[in-house]
Amino acid sequence: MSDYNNGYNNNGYSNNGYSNNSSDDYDPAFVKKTQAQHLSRLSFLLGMGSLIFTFFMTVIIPYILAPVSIVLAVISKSDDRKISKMSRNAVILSVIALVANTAIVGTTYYSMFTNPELRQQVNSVAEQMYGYSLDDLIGAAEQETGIDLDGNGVVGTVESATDNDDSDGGQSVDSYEGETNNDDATII
Amino acid sequence: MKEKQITMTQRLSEISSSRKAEARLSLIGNFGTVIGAEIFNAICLLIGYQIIAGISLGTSLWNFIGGEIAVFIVTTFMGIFTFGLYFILMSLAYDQKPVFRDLFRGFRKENSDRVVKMEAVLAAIELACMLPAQIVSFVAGSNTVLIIVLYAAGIVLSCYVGLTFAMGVVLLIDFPDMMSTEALRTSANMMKGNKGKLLYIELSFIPLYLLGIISCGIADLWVYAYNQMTVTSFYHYLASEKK
Repeated sequence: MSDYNNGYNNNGYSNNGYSNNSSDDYDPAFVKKTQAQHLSRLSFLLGMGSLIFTFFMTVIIPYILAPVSIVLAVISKSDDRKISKMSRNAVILSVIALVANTAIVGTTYYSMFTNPELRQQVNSVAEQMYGYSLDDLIGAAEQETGIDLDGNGVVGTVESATDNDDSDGGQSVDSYEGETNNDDATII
Repeated sequence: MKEKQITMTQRLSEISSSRKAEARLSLIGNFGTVIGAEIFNAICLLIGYQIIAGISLGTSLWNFIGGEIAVFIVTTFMGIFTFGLYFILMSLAYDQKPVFRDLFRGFRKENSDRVVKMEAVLAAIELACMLPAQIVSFVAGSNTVLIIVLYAAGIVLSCYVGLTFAMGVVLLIDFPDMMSTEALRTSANMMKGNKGKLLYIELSFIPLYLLGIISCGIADLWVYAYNQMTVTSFYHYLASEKK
């Protein structure tokens, strides 16, 4: 009837030198089921890991572990259509971790732009670590991308609620303005 | 009419889940080889893209032409690895133990000619689909609406061609004596009336791919293997259906 039926399953490929596993004590179905259970267990562990790392506030790790856990849970379904209890728990844990992590990131981002004390803390920590305050970095990023990241209505200008005077030596501000050559690009 | 639609959706869903179940069964316990092959594939692709980016860097006409030629060559070359990856998946489908070196099967003398010819044809078609948009983008870069429309049309056309010849590589593996043109023709015959089914299967992987994006592409290692294995399983479904 069709061209591709004249050799299907009976061609050179099937005789490519590999041998099927066909010893008497070998039960492929049992082996597959066991391997699926292992995958399910791994998925659960990753789901749990993602939740634990969420509580430790490590932003990146839960975002990696949780999706991998969900994917493994889906794949571990094996031949039966129903998802195992452990896989279901893994999915639940991972979803909780993803939601909680996103909530933490969102809340932190929101607080950073609305809470002056927190902004001051973040500025000083960033300056100690990188030599630039968060305001400097956001201002530069806004100027680069043309997007108002802090929602103050002015691109390239960061209106921090903190008193960020010239105690940083004004070096970052000067160099930043010099680079952009834009009078509007002032960092308060 | 509505009843017919529900039946159609149910049927698509049934085919999709049965193919996926078969794919999962084949993959479980063999992810190591498949993911290893995928990583190697991805590294080669990354190098290829770097070459393309290096050649097409600039705004001159020669950069544009050079970039397009580089895309064609890299796509064709990567097709050889795609053949290898599908070879590994086919061996899983036939309950055989896959080995990593199968990834290089496309370089063998008996395969290279057929694979390169087929991949060159597919790469040329894909390039032809996207070329109008790229030419307009190169000549009149400011006409954004026209460029978007042309790109969208190119993507739709490319998807249609991709679905039509989706079984080409698998046919080359399953039939070592089959030539590339014959495989493409057979694939088009096989996919007649079945493109929607494959499209449904492909679209059903979108949520998993989105999870992959969240995880910086790490989860995609499993998702991509799962997706490709499902396509292989769909080939077996089509072959058994036509028998």
